[in-house]
Amino acid sequence: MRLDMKKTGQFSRLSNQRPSSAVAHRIREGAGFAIAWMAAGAWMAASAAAQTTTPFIQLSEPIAPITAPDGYSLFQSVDLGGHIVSTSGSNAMYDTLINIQSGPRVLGETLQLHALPGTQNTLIDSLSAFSTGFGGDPTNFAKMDFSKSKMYEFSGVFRRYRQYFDYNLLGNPNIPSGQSIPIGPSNAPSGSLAWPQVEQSPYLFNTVRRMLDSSVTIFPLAKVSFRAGYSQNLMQGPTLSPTYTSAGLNDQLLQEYQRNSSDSFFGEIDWKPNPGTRLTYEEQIDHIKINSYFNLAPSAFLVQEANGKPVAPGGWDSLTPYGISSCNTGSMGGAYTNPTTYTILSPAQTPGGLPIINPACSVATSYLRSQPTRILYPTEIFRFQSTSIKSVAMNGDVRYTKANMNLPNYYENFQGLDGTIRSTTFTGNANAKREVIAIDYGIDWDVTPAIHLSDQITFSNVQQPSVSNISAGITANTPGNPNNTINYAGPLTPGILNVEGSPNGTPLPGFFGQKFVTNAATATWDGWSRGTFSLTYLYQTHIIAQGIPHSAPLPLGSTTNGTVTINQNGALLNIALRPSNKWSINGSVEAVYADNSFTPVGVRESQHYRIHTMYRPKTWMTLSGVYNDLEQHNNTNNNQAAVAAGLVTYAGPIDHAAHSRLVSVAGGLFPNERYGIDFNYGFSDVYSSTNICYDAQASAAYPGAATPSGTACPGATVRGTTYYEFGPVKDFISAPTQYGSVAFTFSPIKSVRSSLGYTITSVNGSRFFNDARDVNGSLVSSYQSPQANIAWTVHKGWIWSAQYNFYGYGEGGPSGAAFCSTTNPTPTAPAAVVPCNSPLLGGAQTGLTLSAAGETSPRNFHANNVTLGMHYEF
Amino acid sequence: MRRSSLAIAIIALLPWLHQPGLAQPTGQDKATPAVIKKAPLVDSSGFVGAETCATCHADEAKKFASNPHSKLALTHEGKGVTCEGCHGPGKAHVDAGGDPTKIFQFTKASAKQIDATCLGCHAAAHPNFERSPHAKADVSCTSCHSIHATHNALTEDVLLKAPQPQLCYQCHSDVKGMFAMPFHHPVPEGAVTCSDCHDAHGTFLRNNLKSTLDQNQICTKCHIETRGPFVFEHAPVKAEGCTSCHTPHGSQNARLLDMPSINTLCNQCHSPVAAGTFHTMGAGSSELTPCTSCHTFIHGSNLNPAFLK
Repeated sequence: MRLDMKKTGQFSRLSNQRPSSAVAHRIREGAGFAIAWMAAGAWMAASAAAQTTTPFIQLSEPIAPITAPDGYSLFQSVDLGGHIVSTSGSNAMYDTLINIQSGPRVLGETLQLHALPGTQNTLIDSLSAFSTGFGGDPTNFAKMDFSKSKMYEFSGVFRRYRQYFDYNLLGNPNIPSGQSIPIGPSNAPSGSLAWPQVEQSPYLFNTVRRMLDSSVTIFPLAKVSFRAGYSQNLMQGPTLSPTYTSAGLNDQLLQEYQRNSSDSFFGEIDWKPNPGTRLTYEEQIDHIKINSYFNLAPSAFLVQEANGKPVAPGGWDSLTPYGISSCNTGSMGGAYTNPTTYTILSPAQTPGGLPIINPACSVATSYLRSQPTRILYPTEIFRFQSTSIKSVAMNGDVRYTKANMNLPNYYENFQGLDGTIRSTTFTGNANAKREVIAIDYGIDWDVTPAIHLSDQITFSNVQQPSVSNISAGITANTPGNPNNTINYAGPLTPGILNVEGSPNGTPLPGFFGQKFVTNAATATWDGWSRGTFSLTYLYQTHIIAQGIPHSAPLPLGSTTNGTVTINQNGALLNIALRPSNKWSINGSVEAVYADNSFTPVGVRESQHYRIHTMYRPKTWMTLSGVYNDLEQHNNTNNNQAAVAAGLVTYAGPIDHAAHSRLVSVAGGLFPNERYGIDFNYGFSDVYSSTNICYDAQASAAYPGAATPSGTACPGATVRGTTYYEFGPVKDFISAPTQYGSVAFTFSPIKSVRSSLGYTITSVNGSRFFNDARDVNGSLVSSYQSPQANIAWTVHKGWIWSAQYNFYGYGEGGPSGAAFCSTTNPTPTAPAAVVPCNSPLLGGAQTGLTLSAAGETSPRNFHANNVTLGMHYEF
Repeated sequence: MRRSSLAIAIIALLPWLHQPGLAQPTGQDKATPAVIKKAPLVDSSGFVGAETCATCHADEAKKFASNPHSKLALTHEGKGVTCEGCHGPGKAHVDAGGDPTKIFQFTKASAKQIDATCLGCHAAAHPNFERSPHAKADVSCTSCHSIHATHNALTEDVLLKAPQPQLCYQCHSDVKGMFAMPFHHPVPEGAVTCSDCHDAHGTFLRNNLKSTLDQNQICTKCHIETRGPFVFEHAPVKAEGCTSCHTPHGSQNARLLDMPSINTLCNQCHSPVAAGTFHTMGAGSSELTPCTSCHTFIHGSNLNPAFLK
């Protein structure tokens, strides 16, 4: 395993994904020019060839003649070309949403081999293979199938997907701009080190996922057949991850190199004792390997020690800059005079170098966390299916899993200075088991030709005992002032560091379990040629158990160590109508009620209304529409018994409500081969709200600020002694989004096909701001992509194509007015954050003053992508 | 439960399920058992052979060259399924000069009749179809599958009328808009397909979600690191599923979260309003710093009950 990951380039994009620098532009333009040259060359060659009597002999010369094997027909094609990409604005956002880069590509490849009628005694009857996107596109796909009549069938799919994610609003602490740490004496600095805002997402991903699924069936048509398969899923690459106090005094931003993989094997035996019955036994084994490890992010090294070693002061998410409170003042020597006169940083020894930090100030020099984990999931499955009984079809399965998770060697080590601690080491191990027994059964009975009854029952029981045995931190400490420094060379004193809530050397057991029993009984009537009606009764019991002990219901006022039982009843009505042979419409109404819920956003009441319709007045015309409305509620109040017992403070009803209302219409009109139009419009209204209390961090010094007496919420939290709880207020998101797409296709002559299209998704939403530094971000944004393409069949088997895509992403306007503050906050003057409609504001609300991007870099971008390709069939 | 006990129980069940009395003594032609049983035309003496059909239906016959149904017949002169395998015996149709009313027409048949014909052979592969939302909506096999031929080599083996997701969008146009949102699973890009998560033929789960060996495995097959088991589970992840925090198709919110910021998402459960209600951890986490800045292993942890590492 590679433990050293200090190459900062890993968090840049790949070599073909670097931000737009002048060099990158030159490379990009160069690549684009090369592609354009190649495509133009092919065009010119084709044009010239079209005027000769033997047009394609010359073009075909480099390609060896392809001959189909005896007894087979063979078809092959290849699409060669590439992309020319030009972007402006946020490259991080472009890569997050698009990530197509310049360069040559194998755009596609096809091979089909079929045995001709009558061909016998061959290994393969049919073989087909496809691939797309190889050469640098973020998505690659390859598929291969081959078979030999009654002997075997093989199928394999490989997919590769590169995910670059750097949406800098996610998890951003929104550090105000303009802050710095003085270099030199605090009262007379000679310079300053900017306290950096967070301009990357602390959850940045630059990972690649590879997915392989393959299977082979032996004797697929025989009474007894066999099937085996292998799947692999691998995700690896560098990411960013925050951490909490594990790496010294202050929070550090870590880089996590992820390498998580699963290897899945299965073997299956099918027995068909008669034409209507199949019995299957399957063994599946999943082996999961989690090999991620963590160390300090390259961006964390802001300063250096006097010996030139870069070190990380930490506090990446701190709203206030690194300060004297992180230093052992008694060991700073003459650099510390009093709380207002001190020197933390000294100027760099070389121009452009990192400032030098006082050796008595807490920093991290290195950090490593390694927790290689293995999980083995063996599962036995028995399935059956039968239609052997007249008018009855049934099927079911029984599954049994006993999984084992093993983390044998946990290791975590911090080096640097954390107060008096020079190093801390944690070791230990952990394991967990998951035992699952599950049974599914379904039966359909055609009572009469028009009346059908069906029932479906599922059961599963999960038991998951576990234990974690992690040591307390073994520390090495400096002896005390004036030697509490990072360069103290004398003997260090061993010590122990207990972490709140951690096992600290004592095995800490855990448990989770749950049981599901569901039933869906349906009666269907389809005695009318124009319609089908069905009514389903839904039932579910869900028992959740966690903690130790967990065999009895949760004690009054407790939130863990017990069981929660939820009973759910509902009904579903489906109606499918065919008013005419050209028009079909179907819809459903579902209502479900639960007598309890596990979380405040768990659903107690749910209604789902759905209508789909399709109208085909002509063979070339299709119109369709959808209405899909899901309404969910949880109006449960706090546990009133616990409130009455004085165990819980009543803070109002939860009043959780959520809906997803989708309406869309679509159509396709293709009257002839020359032209056509395809369009789609959709509106989605996604909303969710829950009453919450939150840390207001407001101050009565600001006009309209909430005051402690204005809240119904309990008092300050343990850590939030300078805050108080404000509320309850509605924590909500409203994201009304419009989507539209239209595409015209036009083929003026048989050899030319073209299309022109436009797609846009635009949202103008709002949300709850619990922090005035928040912004709406993608909730007020438009994402659009006009596109045009043309394909010209130069000669049979030769198709030249060009496609142009414009991508535009823009976030508009400042944050919405859902919550107001009176000023742009600073660390020393936190903003008053109150609802805009609060009478406490007295009409003084001014709205937020931040830019649309907030306290980070903007995310808007534009991109022009041209894809040129030549399709060749042979 | 011991694995050996389960194996014994399974073995014990096998003979019961194979009781001769339960089976229907049909004596049907193996090549077309269900057509005989389900399709309206059942005169087994009335077959004329695919060659006869081809004399009038040349276009369809040509398309059959690469059709999985007829591969066996074409390559090995075996018992592949050809025209009458699905349309039933064609003698009456031929004798009547091609009278379309004398043969089973899929275009005129009800969804139930079409499904019964196809499931006659494919019931073992799609045993849940008749209980599926698609069946209840009268969406039949031929709504999605083109039996005679497909023009897309990518879907040739399963005879889909169009590749995914375009095929699914024809009815689920509301979902098409979700996948156009800034953050979405890479379905339009081709890295994920609808059928990775859904089985259009029905399952034991809601919304045609695929039945998996393990809870949430629809998601954790790819998102391996969240599968567990963990020593300390974030219980709602397992009890309510991934969708209690994430919107799978597409979202305006990064990481497909239900809420635009991490704090507003977490506070829905972890604020004093919910304290003592159900599974909550009280109000300890309703601060301004994004919760996952500290609780980084929010899907579950083997080291820390508060998911700090």
